[in-house]
Amino acid sequence: MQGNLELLKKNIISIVGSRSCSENGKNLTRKFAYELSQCGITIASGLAKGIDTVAHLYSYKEKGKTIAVLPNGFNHIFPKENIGLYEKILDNGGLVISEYPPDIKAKSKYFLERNRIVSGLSLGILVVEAAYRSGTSVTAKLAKIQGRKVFALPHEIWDLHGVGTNRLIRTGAILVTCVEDIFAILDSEHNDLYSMLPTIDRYNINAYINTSPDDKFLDNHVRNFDSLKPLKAYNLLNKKTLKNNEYQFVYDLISDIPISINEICKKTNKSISDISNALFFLELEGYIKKVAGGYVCILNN
Amino acid sequence: MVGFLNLGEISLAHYGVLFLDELPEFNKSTLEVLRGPLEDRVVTISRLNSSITYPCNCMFIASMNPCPCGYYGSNEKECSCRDDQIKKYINRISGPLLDRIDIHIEVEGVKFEKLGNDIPSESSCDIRKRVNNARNIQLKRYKEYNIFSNSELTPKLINRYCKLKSKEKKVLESAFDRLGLSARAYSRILKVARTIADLDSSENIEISHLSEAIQYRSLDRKYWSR
Repeated sequence: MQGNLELLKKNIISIVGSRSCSENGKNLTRKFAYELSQCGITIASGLAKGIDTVAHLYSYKEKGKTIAVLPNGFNHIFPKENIGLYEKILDNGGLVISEYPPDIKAKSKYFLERNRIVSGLSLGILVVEAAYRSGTSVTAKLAKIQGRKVFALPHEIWDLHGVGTNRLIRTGAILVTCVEDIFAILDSEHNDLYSMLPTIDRYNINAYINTSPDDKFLDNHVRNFDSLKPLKAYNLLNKKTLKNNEYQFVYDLISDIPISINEICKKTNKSISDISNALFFLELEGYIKKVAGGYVCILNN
Repeated sequence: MVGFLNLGEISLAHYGVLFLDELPEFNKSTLEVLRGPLEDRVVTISRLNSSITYPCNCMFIASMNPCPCGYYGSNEKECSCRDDQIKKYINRISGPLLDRIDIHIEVEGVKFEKLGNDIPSESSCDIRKRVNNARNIQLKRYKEYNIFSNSELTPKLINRYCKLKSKEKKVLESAFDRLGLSARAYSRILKVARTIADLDSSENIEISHLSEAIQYRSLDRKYWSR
């Protein structure tokens, strides 16, 4: 172990999720990691890519601090991109745990072994995103065996990133949509927890995402359940607003799920050259980017 | 006896099409050897007692999957490859080889319902008309230079026939800055833009032609920058 051992005495919640996560998953992780650690909850995760990285990033500076559990020795941080994060966690009073000698490199077996520590450390684990077959589902299983609470975020049924979490919910995980849900469950066993709650501003979305009209829109809907209507996925996204309206019709079709140029052509009934023209300028201005499978929008923040 | 050196596939494809399916499955050294011939349009084979140069002015077409399982980036099915597997697979195609390919296009898998449907699309006959039209424009333009198409333009001729106006130049410049295109891509983008303009029967290269040509250099940004 390296770092602040005191963290182990605190209330710990593990945030787990897939390495290849969606933008939506990142936003969710941001929200929960930030809010939980604002309340003094310590966030544990695995220092892997994707959800783990975001969970550490948004908790290591906060009150609750963060714990990273490694699948490798301290001399071989995996993935290499996260060496910087590893150092930041230590510098900011976090804790890094590894059960392997310093010179051991990560192996796929160790990832699964690491997961049992991630779940074992905590009061409960929060599953943000899990695909159909994933290490995250294994962690959830382990947590169940260890008698830990399993919290899962619900996803749209056709969202490939959410198949695992939805299945967890079906098989008995606790569905949560906000930090309060987690506290409500844990409160019965840990009375001190719920009292921490008022320290955060419940609907202070500004805290983790820049406010845009869409957020205010969403915020109002959360408050007034009467007017809660089905929202289109891209309304929930914190998209940038175009300076120039010329290509708005193309931009409207682009969300955080990759869309191909063919599909955009079909939906707009325009020619490939018109659309590629529009896409080119949107990309040049930094509104969208290319990923495997098509184009996605670049979100504010 | 002077050994007769057999023609390779690339010379057999002279003035034709060389199509390599499943590009990453080829030997890396085989693929890298293609660089020179693709650039110079001749291939030189040297053996102990002879050295022969064959022409190989062909159109080079290749296809590949985005990853070993074939579903990376698909909305339909989850990709089961690890990150490093995908990287390894993609990296079998080196940057220099990729740079020598003018047009990169990503295509989606065909859905079952679409296989049998009869939504009218442009027929090959119509496309042929458009292509012949563009070809004729190019033949006429390059009459005196003994070349047939935009792809054969030399740097000097590119300066002459692919001139950009200041506005277009600015767009190309910012594209290079923002999208991180390679220097080798520059002349290729101009040639493709020239061809798109010819298909449009347009005298000058307009911004829309240029931006379409840049869009066709998308794969290196998407996959090779991982």
